[in-house]
Amino acid sequence: MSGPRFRDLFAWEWRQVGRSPLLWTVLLIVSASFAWGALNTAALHSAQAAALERARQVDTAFHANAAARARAYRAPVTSSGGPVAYWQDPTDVAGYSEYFVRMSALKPHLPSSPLAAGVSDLAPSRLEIRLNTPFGFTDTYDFENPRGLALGRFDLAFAVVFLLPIGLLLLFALFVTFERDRDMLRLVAAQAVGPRAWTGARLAAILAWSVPATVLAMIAALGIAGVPLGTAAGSLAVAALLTVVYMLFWSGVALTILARQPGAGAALGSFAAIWAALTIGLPLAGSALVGMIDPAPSAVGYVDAQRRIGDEINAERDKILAAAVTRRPDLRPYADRATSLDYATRLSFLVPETERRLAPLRSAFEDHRLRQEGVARIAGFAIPTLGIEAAFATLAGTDPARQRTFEAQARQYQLRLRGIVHPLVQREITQPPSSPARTTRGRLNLAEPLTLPKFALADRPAAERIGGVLPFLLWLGLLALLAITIGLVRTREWKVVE
Amino acid sequence: MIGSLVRLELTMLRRDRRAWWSLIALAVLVLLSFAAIAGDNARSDADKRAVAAAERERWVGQGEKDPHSAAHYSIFAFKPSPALAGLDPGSEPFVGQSVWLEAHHQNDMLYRPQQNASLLQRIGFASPAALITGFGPLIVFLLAFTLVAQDRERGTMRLALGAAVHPRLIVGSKALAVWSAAAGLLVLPVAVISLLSLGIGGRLGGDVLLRTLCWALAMAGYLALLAAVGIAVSLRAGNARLALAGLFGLWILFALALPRVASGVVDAVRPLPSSQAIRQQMAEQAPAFWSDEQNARNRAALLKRSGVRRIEDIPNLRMAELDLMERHSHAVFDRVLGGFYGKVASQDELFAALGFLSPTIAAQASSSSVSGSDFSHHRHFIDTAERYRRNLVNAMNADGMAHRAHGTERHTNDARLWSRIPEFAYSAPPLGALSSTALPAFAALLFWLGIAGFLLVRISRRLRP
Repeated sequence: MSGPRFRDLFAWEWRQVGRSPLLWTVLLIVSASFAWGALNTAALHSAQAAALERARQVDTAFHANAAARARAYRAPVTSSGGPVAYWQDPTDVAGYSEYFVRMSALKPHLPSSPLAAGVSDLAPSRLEIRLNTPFGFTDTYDFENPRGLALGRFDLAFAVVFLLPIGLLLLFALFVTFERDRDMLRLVAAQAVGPRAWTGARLAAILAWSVPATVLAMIAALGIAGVPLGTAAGSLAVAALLTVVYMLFWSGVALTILARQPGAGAALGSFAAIWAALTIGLPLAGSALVGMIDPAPSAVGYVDAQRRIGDEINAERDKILAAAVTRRPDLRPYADRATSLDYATRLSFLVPETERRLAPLRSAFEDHRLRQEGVARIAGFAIPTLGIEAAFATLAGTDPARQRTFEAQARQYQLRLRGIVHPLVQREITQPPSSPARTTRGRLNLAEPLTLPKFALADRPAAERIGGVLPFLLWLGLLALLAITIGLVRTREWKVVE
Repeated sequence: MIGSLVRLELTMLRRDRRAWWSLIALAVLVLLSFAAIAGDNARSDADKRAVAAAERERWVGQGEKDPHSAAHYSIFAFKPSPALAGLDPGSEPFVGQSVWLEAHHQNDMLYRPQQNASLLQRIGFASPAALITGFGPLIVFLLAFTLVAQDRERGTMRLALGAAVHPRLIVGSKALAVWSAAAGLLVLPVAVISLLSLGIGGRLGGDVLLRTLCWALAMAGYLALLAAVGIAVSLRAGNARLALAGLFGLWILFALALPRVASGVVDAVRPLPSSQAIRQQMAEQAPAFWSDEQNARNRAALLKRSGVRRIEDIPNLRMAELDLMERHSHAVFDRVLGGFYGKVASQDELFAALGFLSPTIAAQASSSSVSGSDFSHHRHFIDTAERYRRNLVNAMNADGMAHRAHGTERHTNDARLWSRIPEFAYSAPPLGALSSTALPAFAALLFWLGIAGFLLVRISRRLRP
C-alpha cells in the first residue's frame, strides 16, 4: 500500500488549517499587535521630530536675537544706554564665544524608524553644543516617563520578537497535538503515512498561512504608521526576511518538541520554557555575567574626578594659562597678560586642559560602552531574540551604534567650532586692552555674530546598514535549518504508546 | 482536613516535574536578579556616600571667595537607592542619580544607570518584581493546569468530587496549594533575604519592615488571584486543551501585552511635552545670563523694592540683582518644571487606574510604589535637593547683599559662611506619604482579588462529579 504524497497531505492540511477560527484569531491578534507597535513607535518618533524642529526654530530665534543685539550695540554710549557687559555683548568676541555660541546637533529619524524604538526612547536626539562644555556636550537626555522605560515600549520589534513566536507556538501546539489529545493518534498511525510527512505537512500548512499573513501584516502596519514603503524598501525587505527566518527558527524548535508527539499541555509547557529561556533567562544570565566580568566605571566616581580636576585646574590656573600662552609663538610676547584674561578667554585654554586630564576616565567609559556593544552583538548570535531586536534597531536607525556615531560627530563638530572661534578669541590677547571709556555700547571687536556651520549627521548609507544585518540573517537561517533538520530527524516513528 | 488536602496537592505538584521545575527555575531567577541588583546598589551607594563626603569637604574647604561664586561651585547631591530597590528598582535604572545644585539652574538629574546600556543589558535587566509580575502568571497557570485540568482529563477529578462532602474543599485546597507553592518560593525567600541584607547594611527600620511586608503582601495577593483565576479557568474550560489555551491567552494578555499597551495608551491620552521644550521654556523665562535690557528692568525693580532713588544706595547691586533673578527663576521652575512633573505623576496615576484592566498592571504599580522606587519618590528627592539648592543660593546671595560692594569694592567670605550651610542629607518619605498616584492600583489589586475569589467560589459551588 503506497502512502499519500506529501503534496496531497499538505494541500489537505492547508485547507483544514485555513478553515480554523483559531488560526485567524491568532493572526488577527498578531497583526493588531504589529499595527499598534508600529504606530506607537511612529508616534514617539513624530513627537521627537517635532521637538527637533522646535529646537531648530529656537536656535534660529536665538541667533537672530543675538544679531539684532549686535546691531543695536553699535550705538554710542548715552546716559540711558551705557556700555554693555562682556557676557551680554555679542560684539565682544570673548563674550560671544561663551554666551552666544549655542548650536544644536540633531539626530533625525530614518524613514524606517517605526520598525523598532531601539535606544530612541533613552538616548538624546538633540545635543546642545557649546564651545566650552568638556567633551562636546553634557550628559543630557530627553525625559521619557521612567515607568514606561522600565516597562519597555510596545514597538514592532517587541511584537515580532516576543508575541509572534507565542502565537506561532500556540498554533503549532494546538493543531499538531489535536489527535494525541483526542486519542486519535493510533488511528492516524495505522494509516500509510509516516510521522515525518504527517507532522511536516501540518506544520508547513500552518506556516503557509502564517508567513504571508505575517509579512503582509508587517507591511500594512508600517504603511499605517506612515513609513514611506518605497524609500525604505531595502530595510523593510530585510526586516520581513528576518521575520520569516525567525518564524522558521521557531518552527524548527517546535518540530523538535513535537517530534515526541506530546499532548497540548506538554507541548505548550516545553514551548513556554524555551521561549522564556530565550527571551528572558539567557539575556538575564548574559547581562549579569557581563556585569560581573566587566562592570561599568562608576559615574559617581566620574563626578568626583570632574570636581577634583576642576579644583586642580582652578588652583593651577595662572600657571596653566602662562604655559599655554608661552607655548604659542604668536602669543608669547604677551605672556604677561595671561593672568588677567577674562573668563571666556581663560576657558579657551583651560577647557582643553580639563579634557586632557579627564581623558583617561572618559576613555574608560567609552571603551566600556564599546565592549558592551561588542558583547551584545556576539550575544545576538547566541540568543536569537536579542539578535532580532538588534537587527531591527539597526535597520530602523535606532541602534546604539548610530547613537554613538551621532555623539562622536557632535564632539567633532564642537572641535570644528572651537577651531573657528577660539583663534578669534585668543587673538584678542595680542590687541591693546580696551579702553574703560568706550564710545559704543558694544565692544565691537566682532563686527557681527559669525555664520557658523550647522551640524549635519553623516549617516551610514542604507546598504551598509543592511549589510551589517546580513551575517545575523544568514546565521539565523542556518539555526532555523538546523532546528528543522533535528526536528525532522527526531520525527522518525509514531509514539502511540505513552 | 484542608491542611492534609493542601499537602496532598503540593505532593502532586512536586511530582509533575515540568511545572515544579519551572517554578524552581523562576524562583532561582528571582533570587539571582535580587542579588545582582542589590549588589550593584550597595556598591553604588557606597560610592555615593564617599563622594558626597568629599563634596562636603570641598564645599567647606573651597577657600575665600565671592559668595555668588560659591553658589556656582555648590555641591553635587546623590540619590541613595531606595531600601527596597533590590526587590523592585521601578524607575531607578532610568532616572538620574546625581544633580549639580548650582546657582540659576534647576539642573536635570544625570547619570541614569541604563543611559548607555547595550541591548543585552536592557533586555537582560529583570528585577524580582518584574519576574514575578511578568512570569508569575505563566508558572501559576501551569501549576493550576497541572492540578486541575489534567485531573479532569484523567477522570480523577470526577472520582475525587464524587467522594468529597464539600467539593469546595477540594477546589480550595488546590488553589491554596498553587498559591502557597508560588508565594512560598517566589516571594517569601526574596523578601526574607532582602530584610537580612538590609539588616546587615544597617538600613533595617520600622518603615523598611512595613514596606517589605506590604510588598510581600501585594505580591502574594497577586499570586493568590492568579491561582484562583488559573483554577477557575481550568475548571470551567470544556477540556484541557481549551483550559491551556485560555490560560496562555490570559498570561499573554495580562502580563505581556496589556502593561505595554496601557503605557502606550497613557502616553497617547496624557502626552508629555518634550523635555527639550521644557528646558527651552525655562531658559527663556528664567535665563541664567540675561540681556542688558533685562538689567535695566531689574534695576528699576530693585530701586522700587529698596525704596531708594539711586543705584548707589543699594549696598550690593550685583548681588541684589542676582537675588532678584534667582527668586524669579524659582517661580518659573515651579510653574514650568513643576507642571511637567505633575504631568508625569498624572500619567502614572492613569497607568495605575488601568490596573482594573490587568492585575499585572495593578501589581506593577503597587510594587514600585511600596518599594519607594516610582516616580513620586524620585520627585521627592528632586524637590528635596531643589529646596536645599535654593536655601544655599539664597544664603549666599543674602550674605552678598548684606555687604557693600560698589566700584572696585568686593565682598568675599570663607569657611565661616560655607560651614553654616547644613550638609545635604536625604531621607526617603515614610510609606503612604507618596502613595496617592498608586492608590488606584491598590484598589485594582483588591478588586481583582475579590473577582478571582468570587469566581472560584461560584465555580466550585456549581461543580458536580
